[in-house]
Amino acid sequence: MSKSVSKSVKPIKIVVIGSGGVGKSALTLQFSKSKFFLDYDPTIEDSFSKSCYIDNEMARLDILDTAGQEEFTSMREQYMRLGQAFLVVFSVTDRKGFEEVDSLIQLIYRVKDREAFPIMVAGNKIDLQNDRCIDQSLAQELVQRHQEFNPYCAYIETSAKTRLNVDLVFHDLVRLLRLYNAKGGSKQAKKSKCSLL
Amino acid sequence: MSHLRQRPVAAMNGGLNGIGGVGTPRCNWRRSADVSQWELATLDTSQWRRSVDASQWVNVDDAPNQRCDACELAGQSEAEPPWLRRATRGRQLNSVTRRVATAIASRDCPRQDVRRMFSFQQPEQPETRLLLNDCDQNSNGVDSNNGSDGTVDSMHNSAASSRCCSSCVFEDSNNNGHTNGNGINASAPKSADWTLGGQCNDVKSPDNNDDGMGAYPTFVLPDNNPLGDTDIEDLAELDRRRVRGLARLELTALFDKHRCCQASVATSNGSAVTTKHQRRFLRLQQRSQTLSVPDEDKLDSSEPSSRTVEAKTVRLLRLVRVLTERLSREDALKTRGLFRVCGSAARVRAFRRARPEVVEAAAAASAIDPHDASTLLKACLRELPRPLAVSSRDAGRFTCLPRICDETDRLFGLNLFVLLLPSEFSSVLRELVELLAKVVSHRDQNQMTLQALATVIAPSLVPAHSPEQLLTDSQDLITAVEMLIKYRSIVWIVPDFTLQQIRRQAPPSLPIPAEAAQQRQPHAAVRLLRRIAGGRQHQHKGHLHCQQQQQPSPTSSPFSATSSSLSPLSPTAQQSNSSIIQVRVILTAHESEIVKSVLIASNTTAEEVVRRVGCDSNGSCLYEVGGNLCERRLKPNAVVSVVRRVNPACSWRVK
Repeated sequence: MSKSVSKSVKPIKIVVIGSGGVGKSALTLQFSKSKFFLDYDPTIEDSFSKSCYIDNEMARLDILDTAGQEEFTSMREQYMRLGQAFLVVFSVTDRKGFEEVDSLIQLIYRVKDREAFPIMVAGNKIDLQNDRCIDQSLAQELVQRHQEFNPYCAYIETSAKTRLNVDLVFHDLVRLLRLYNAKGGSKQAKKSKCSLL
Repeated sequence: MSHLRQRPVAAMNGGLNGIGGVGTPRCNWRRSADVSQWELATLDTSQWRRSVDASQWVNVDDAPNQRCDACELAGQSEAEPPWLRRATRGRQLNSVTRRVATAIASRDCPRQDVRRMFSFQQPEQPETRLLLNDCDQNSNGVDSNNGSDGTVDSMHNSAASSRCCSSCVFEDSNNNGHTNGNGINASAPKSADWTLGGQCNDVKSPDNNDDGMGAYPTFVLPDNNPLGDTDIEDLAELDRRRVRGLARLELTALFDKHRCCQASVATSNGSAVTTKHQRRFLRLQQRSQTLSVPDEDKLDSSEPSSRTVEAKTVRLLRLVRVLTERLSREDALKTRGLFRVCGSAARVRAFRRARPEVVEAAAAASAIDPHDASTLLKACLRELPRPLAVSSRDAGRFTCLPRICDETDRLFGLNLFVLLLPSEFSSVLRELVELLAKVVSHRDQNQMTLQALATVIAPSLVPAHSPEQLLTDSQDLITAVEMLIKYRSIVWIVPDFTLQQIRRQAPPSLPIPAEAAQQRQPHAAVRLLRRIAGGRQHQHKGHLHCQQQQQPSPTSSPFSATSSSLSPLSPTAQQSNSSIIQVRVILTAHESEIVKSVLIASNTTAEEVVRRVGCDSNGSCLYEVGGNLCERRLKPNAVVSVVRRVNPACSWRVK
């Protein structure tokens, strides 16, 4: 019995990445604790876990909140290897953060050695409409370029402050992962069995 | 054998009590390697060393009472022993050990001096010592401690009190009675020192809780130091090197005292004083690390020969300085998330490929975006062949610095780490830390609190060896960096007892730095002009009473004619309230020198002397040159007569 339960709620490892100061921690904390923290503390590495029902199916999310600064890039590959799904955050008010999104996605492909992987791109801080410098179309374009070969990639605009689309972004990511596991992942499982034999 | 074994331990115990200020050690087990290091420092007979090496573990508990014997014996040696001579010639000892060992063995080092090397003040009258007046007594030649061997405790107390008052004063008297990780209670006299420190500190600094500097206790330097606080940058390079040697010894003692750090220290390359073998190993390790860095991240991917490494260091430090200057401007300081938000990767890459002159020009014209500049700055810091804040081999100790429970010792440790830095690193780090403090002071605009800033800058200042280490040590590292920012005005000050030791250890004829040597032989015409100028200014030269020297200072040799014409220093002149000093004014604009004599009273400060000489407008400072220090810039509040008593053989300069 216990075995079946643990199987059904096997944790999903989600890694939140992005440039420094774009709101990764705010987004994660808003999702896991339903709070918006005003303090401006850089993260080194935090992890949260949360259980929720997505499409009537229990899911336990292990969310790893990472540092955006370049100094901490040495840790990047390590957690990228462990992650099952990635949330790439940028701020719509920060052009430099957006420029980094593409390279981050490329890095995921490289570390995972896959062409396709569940990746959600989140344009954060859309409550700051006045400071906005990245249009929705611009971000959409970027994601569409990736979607050509990676169908498990999507773009959502969020606001951690107003809790707009915060749940949706994580839920959609889990959906993408399930889709990915149902198609590509199943093949993999078979493969691993063969190698064991 | 047991008799032989106990003695070196006792010596070591005494030495440590002096340096680290350890109280009665309770159940202290020390590795024999440490013992042999200390034994080298305190003793001079190879027989003892051998006996210690033979025994793997030595119990310190055995012999606290035998310390005096060891000291005595250490003092008894008159000439340099043959083993030491051999060792020094063969450069078998490292510089610190050699220096201490030589000082012990040298002929003119009486017994109490050996002990003074480890205890900074004499046990009696700690209250008067708090005012840092002991220089007076030393110069009077009265050493009341000559005959009596102070007990371990009194020695410890005096050391502790001196450290408290000369390096800093602890304001928060509620914090008495700490327990360090070893279970040794901070002794009662020490906590008393803190309150005494509070008394001696007349002007309390405003409560710094509102400066965004976190919950660290506020330390202030006593502002009534008659010698003037000595900034590390006030000293000549040669003196700085000696400070570094002593600082390394102190650091070892400090970390021996706080054994809570030992586990992590052991993993990070053992003791601070390393053996030759260890250093070779470290060098190999460092080389392998530099080679493992991917080449695309380096500015130049050529072979890391020592010359290219040096050139690279110089270039990077220059770049860091330029960028620091750029970021110190008001517009950059107000940028939200400065140092946190990344710059544009493409632009930063372009700047990294560009020539340094291009970057400098761009920075001067504020053409670099603040975020780009901060990213570039951090990249430069990480690219340096050795970390900016602390050398690679000390990085482990630096990280466990916050684990020291005693606040004063923690600050003292930080001070030592800063003193250990090479000069150019020290000054660049200082500029950087000043910048960081400015950023924190603008935190209302840029949102960067002390903690936030320390978090993002710490990995660049002290790069971690591995990602795991980055994660595990990050909190301690951040605390250390926060302390560096918070105590920036204190940690660059050389503690007075260190300076005192340097003065005491001064060789009779101090080598003169290159630039001073050049100044010694000015052009004949210049000399003539100077003599004319000097003669004009000192009409009453014959009345001069006090050209200082009891022994001729090497730097005063060009003025031997002047000096010889002066009446020798008489005891009455020494005790009189006012006297005259000769100040050599060096005018860099005209490349000439003028000698002026200045009448000083017992309370004349350096600032007044500079004013009387007429150089106060262009930011000149008074220097004490020669004697028992190479050169030292005096702070404006330093009292000249007191300095003269400490360093009677010095000459004075205004630059």
